[in-house]
Amino acid sequence: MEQDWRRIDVDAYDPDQQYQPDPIDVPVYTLQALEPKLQQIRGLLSRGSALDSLRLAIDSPPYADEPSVKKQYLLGVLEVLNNIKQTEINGVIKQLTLDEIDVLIKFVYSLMALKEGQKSGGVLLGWFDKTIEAVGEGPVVRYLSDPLKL
Amino acid sequence: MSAPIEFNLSKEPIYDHCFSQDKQTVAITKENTVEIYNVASRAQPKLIATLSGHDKTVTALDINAKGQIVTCSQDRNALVWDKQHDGTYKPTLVLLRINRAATSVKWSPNGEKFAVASSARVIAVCYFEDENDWWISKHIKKPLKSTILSLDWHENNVLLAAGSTDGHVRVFSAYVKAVDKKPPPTVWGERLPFQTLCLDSNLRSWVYDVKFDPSYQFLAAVTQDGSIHFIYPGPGDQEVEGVFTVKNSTLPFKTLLFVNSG
Repeated sequence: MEQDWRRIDVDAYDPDQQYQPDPIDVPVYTLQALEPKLQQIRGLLSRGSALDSLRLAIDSPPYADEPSVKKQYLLGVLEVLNNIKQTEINGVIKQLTLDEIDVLIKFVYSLMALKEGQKSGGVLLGWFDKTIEAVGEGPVVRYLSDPLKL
Repeated sequence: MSAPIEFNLSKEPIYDHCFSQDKQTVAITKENTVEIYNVASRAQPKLIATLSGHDKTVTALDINAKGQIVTCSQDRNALVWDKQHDGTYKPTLVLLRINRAATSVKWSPNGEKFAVASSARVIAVCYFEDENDWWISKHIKKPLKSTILSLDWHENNVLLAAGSTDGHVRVFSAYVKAVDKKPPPTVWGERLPFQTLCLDSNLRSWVYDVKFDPSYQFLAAVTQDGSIHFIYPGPGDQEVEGVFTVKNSTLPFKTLLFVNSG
């Protein structure tokens, strides 16, 4: 059987050439450990302090966790993003630092990949649009190149 | 700020360019060749030489103080071009022994050696061996994990900074016994046999360009995540004292240059 020898990945057979990416140096949370944080986020949201709720969600997200844990976290974030009115979005963005905005854009991208997020597609696109307008393409570039992904 | 001077020299992409010492001529890459233009008259650049020798796209070139040109290409070779009395250039092949394209080449400040960065996860440091009358390459391999995109020499002709797509900025010693004298100790390290790793900083995204500052005390690097980083070495072995990052709101920078030491 003639194999297409030009398309063989020679590097896969070379023990010297296996690329090991750098290890991710972030703590791994369990779902139980995240529960109180998610409760707090929901609590702040129901009390009307949407900005604080979002800030809490942005602070140390579970980058190193299992996809199922990440999904639960993202659904919590989705609740917050859905509950902030369109007119208030600009105000919220102005109050976040550049680092926080980077994480916010990561949330938006990861949520767009989830089915639940796609149902609120309009809201997510609104967040994305207004943020990039205010801040530039920096967060998008950083989302693409950051090894820490949600 | 004065208006930039524009030279329209090529319809093809220019991968790299270098001005001669006296800034009267400039060499640009053009697909598989290198073209040298006299730009003394800014309105009318004149083509004075074409260097053909590579089989694939020339990715980088550099000119040293003696006027020797080194070019490297995707054909995994480097050529050193010496100017002859009649104005033409004679190439000498350098066996780099790399199995992937070369990405960047830089002469050391004294023009005795040059380093070639490649996609083969190797930096080839090349020097001229008089007894055999050819250029020899020595490889820096560990711990490079991916393509090296940029190089910068320290003024002592021994230390070499490299930026790579594995997200790391590293400073190596490229000391070659046949060509170099032992350098005095610097903030980067003291005992420096070939391939010593003097600094390794993980910037987490592809490093496009790295440069020593004009006083050679720290490094600056630009990466794919759109930031500019400043890396300060510490007193200990391979110690990094601090990394300052300036995040940017535009698309990533590809090169950087120190304009003055102010």
